Amino acid sequence: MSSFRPAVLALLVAAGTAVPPSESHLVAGAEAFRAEAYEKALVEFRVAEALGSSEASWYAAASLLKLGRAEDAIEAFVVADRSNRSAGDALLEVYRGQACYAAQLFLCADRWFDSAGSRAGPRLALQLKALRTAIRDALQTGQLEPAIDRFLDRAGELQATRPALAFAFAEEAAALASRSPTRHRQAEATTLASRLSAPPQRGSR
Amino acid sequence: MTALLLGLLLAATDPCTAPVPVGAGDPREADVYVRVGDAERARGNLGAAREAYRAALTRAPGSVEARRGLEAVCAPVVDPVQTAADALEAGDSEGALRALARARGHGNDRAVDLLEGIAHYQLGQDTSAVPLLESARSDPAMAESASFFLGLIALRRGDGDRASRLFDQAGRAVGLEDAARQLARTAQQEGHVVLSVATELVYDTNVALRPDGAPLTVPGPDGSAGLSVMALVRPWGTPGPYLRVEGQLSKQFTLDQLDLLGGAAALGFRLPGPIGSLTGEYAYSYQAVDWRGYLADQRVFLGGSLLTGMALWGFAYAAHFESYRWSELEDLSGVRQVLELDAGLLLGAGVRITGGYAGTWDAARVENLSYLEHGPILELVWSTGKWTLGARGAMAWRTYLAPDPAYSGTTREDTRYFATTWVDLGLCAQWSVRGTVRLLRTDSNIPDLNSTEWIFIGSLTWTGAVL
Repeated sequence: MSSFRPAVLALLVAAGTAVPPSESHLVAGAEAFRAEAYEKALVEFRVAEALGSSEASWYAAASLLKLGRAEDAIEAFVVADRSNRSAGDALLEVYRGQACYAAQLFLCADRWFDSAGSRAGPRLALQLKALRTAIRDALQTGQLEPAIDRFLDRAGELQATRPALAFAFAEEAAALASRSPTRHRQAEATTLASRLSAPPQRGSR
Repeated sequence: MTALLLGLLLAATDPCTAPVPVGAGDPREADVYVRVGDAERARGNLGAAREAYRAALTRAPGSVEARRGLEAVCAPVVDPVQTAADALEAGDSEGALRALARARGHGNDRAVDLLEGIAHYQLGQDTSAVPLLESARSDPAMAESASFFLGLIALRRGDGDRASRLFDQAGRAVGLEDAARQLARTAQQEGHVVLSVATELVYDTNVALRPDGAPLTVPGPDGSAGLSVMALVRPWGTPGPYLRVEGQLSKQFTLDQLDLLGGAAALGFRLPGPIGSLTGEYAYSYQAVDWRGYLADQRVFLGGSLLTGMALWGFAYAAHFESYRWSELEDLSGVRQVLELDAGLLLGAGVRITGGYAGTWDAARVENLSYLEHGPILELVWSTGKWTLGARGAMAWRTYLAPDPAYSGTTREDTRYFATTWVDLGLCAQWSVRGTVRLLRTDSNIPDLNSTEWIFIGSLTWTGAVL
């Protein structure tokens, strides 16, 4: 959790300075998150989100991860990324990588750990490096094709109801297919991932 | 008092029963909390939904939506998946399917697939079970369990190779290792053509059934080496017809006149079901002792088993049409019928205890060699991992139908005791070793016929599907 913004917000709220209505919920969510009251944190971040805070979506995603709902967290991170990419920071990227790792989307996890590692302090960078090594070991060539099939099946099942989560599965399948010696179902995975990558615009046909 | 305080403390921390603090926050935000609560409730996150509804009530104590939402998420939840799992545990597969009918769409469809697949498997509906179990197998958390049941289905269909591979996958799951290992061995015995080769070393303390106290000149103990080969052909797997061909050679170390050479062929049909099985078979066997034709036996067999709860009921009937080829034994020829009824209890942890009663009616050519025999049987088997230990005891009262002129016109009456214990070690899917000790004791009303025989057997067996 990014500690800087909620701390400043807390001071502003305490001082009675005029801040957007969502900010007090962002602060309440951050406090609950720190107190490990993740359900309360999730609710406050969702309320902040409903009141217009786009960065609250990132923190809601982190709360979902802490609640053990990895797939919901992945979905929420994708949605947050689409609404406000700049709000993510190194720690949120670590959470995002952890969500991917928990759902066995190893290449997704590797990507976010890599990104976070370049911005993290030396201690966290070392931990991320160890995690990436574990991921490399877990990705054995012989197991790629069943994994690609599994993720494409999941993406197919979810594309109508949860397109953001389906996108994460399709993207993982495409990334794995590019590593597969036979390029197993690569075209299919890439096409599906690109189709799901942009949410349908309102009014578009 | 302590219990009262504890109860009050729990009530205070339970979000469903703890009083809602009133007056905090902006009342205009209550609707937002209700919407968040509704959304979390729809996603199955009841904890967050409770938090949201309580926050809404804090801001707007009169909010009907918030009150209804909180009541809804605090109502006792009947989890259909758990209900189905309980029903399966109790052997109620139909009940499990009924419970699962309303379980989909809550983010755990793979678990629903697994349980539905198991229920269909238990009902013998393999065609419905396979796609569900395959779907469950796509979830890493359920892959091993799904593979286990897919293996059982493959085994039931006689596809030993596939069953073996699936059990191998299932064996990775903690808790399934032992069962999967044993079933992988069984799977090696399933297939369209299964071959089994066994070698054994035997030491018999009384190979010629020398009576107690007989002169030492009468043959007594001896050892032997044996080889037996069996081929089982099931063109259409199981259920279906099968052909079994067997050969056996036993070479005595010293008593050459008891060397045995035998062969048999059997044609049968096995009909397995979800809770039982039925097997019918005709077999012809021929044995030569001392390299001379000794006994020809035509056998008709019918056997079956039925599983109800933890009890396994079994029956086996065989009629042997025996023809002894040595002129001095011709009077022993006739029809020998055997019936065994038993009931086994599957006690869990690989332990099975079986009790039964067996009867034999041997109608030989002459009445003084014909007899009726009956008696109880008790068997205890424990399988764990690679090991199987067993013990079987039986006693039988045999009464001949007429006085025997060879024994001063006395009608022979015997009491026979059998005890066997064995230990079997599966070295891998195909190879196993077994050690067996047997005791046979006959107490007769004609003391000259009392005898005791101990047999010690060590065997090494290879069994595998070759097609």
